[in-house]
Amino acid sequence: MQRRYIRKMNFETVRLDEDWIVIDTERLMVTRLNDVGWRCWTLLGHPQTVDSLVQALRRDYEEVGEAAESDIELFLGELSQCGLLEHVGA
Amino acid sequence: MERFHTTIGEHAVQIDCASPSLFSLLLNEYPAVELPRAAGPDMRLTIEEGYGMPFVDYEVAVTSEPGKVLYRRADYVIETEPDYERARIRAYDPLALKHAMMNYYSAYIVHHRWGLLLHASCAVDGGKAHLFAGPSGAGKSTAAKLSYPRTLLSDEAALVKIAADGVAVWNSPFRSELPTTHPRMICPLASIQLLVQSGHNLRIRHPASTGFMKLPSYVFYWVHSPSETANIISLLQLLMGRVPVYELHFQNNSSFWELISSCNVAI
Repeated sequence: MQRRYIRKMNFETVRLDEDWIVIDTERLMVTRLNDVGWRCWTLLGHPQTVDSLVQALRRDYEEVGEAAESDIELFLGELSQCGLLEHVGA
Repeated sequence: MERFHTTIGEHAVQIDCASPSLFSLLLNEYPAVELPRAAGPDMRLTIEEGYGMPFVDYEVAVTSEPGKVLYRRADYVIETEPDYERARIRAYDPLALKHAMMNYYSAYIVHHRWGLLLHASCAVDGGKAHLFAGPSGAGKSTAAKLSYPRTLLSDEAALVKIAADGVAVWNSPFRSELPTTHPRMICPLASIQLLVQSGHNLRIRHPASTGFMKLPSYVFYWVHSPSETANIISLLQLLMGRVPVYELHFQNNSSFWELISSCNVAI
């Protein structure tokens, strides 16, 4: 069973040019996301696994390579480290 | 208790002060003006001396109580109503009072979404304002001095009004060493430079998102509450949508202005 993630609440988001910025208003931390990162962030409004995110990205984007799983794992790890995600029970 | 009125940015300020020494200092830094009869002051300040101890550090503790917000540093305390329209400032000495005034005004303009007080010097070139921002020691004052004979709107703390119809820099009375020469001057803001002292000149434009992420550390005090943070976010978003941010590596002479002025011509 893959680990499931969901984004935490109470974040402000801002769009500037091509980037999205997620702001933790309690800890005053900001995280910048590109377009794909933003798509993942919106999907993470509901519980997601690495596989479910990769499948969604393959539907949305034509060029999703073989390394997508490891990229997404890395990305989720970074968001977790930034305190933006929490794990959801099975 | 003596009273006078002054203006900071576009705000009318009423100051009451019982200390003769602080009163003359305040009058020197914030010139007295006559307010139009119909208009009351935007903020009413009562200034007192005899609080705390000499400067220790820049750490300010902010607390909220019903009906008031407190900003407390070793050498000053500000007790303000939640709308920032009345406040009592108690300070140890002139340095503490100067910092307390900047603290209060910064919090006021964030609360009212008027704009930001930024750690930045600001010079006018071709009718446009250019900011030089950075932490202490980054070269704000140096850049200001090297900008002579251009008019300076600030040498350490820049008053930036941010509105949907434009971004403008107002002359700042919060000075470090270079005095005000044009107290009523207001100029549209054309660029923000984040300073890096260097052996060569180089100006690199940052994406707006980078500017958005870097600028909060150059904003003077505000209350870290969700509503005030939302105000900061809204102001920074407007600012980044209208004004480019650059990283400026500059030599210790005025040649860096060639990079800024030539850009003005291209626009």
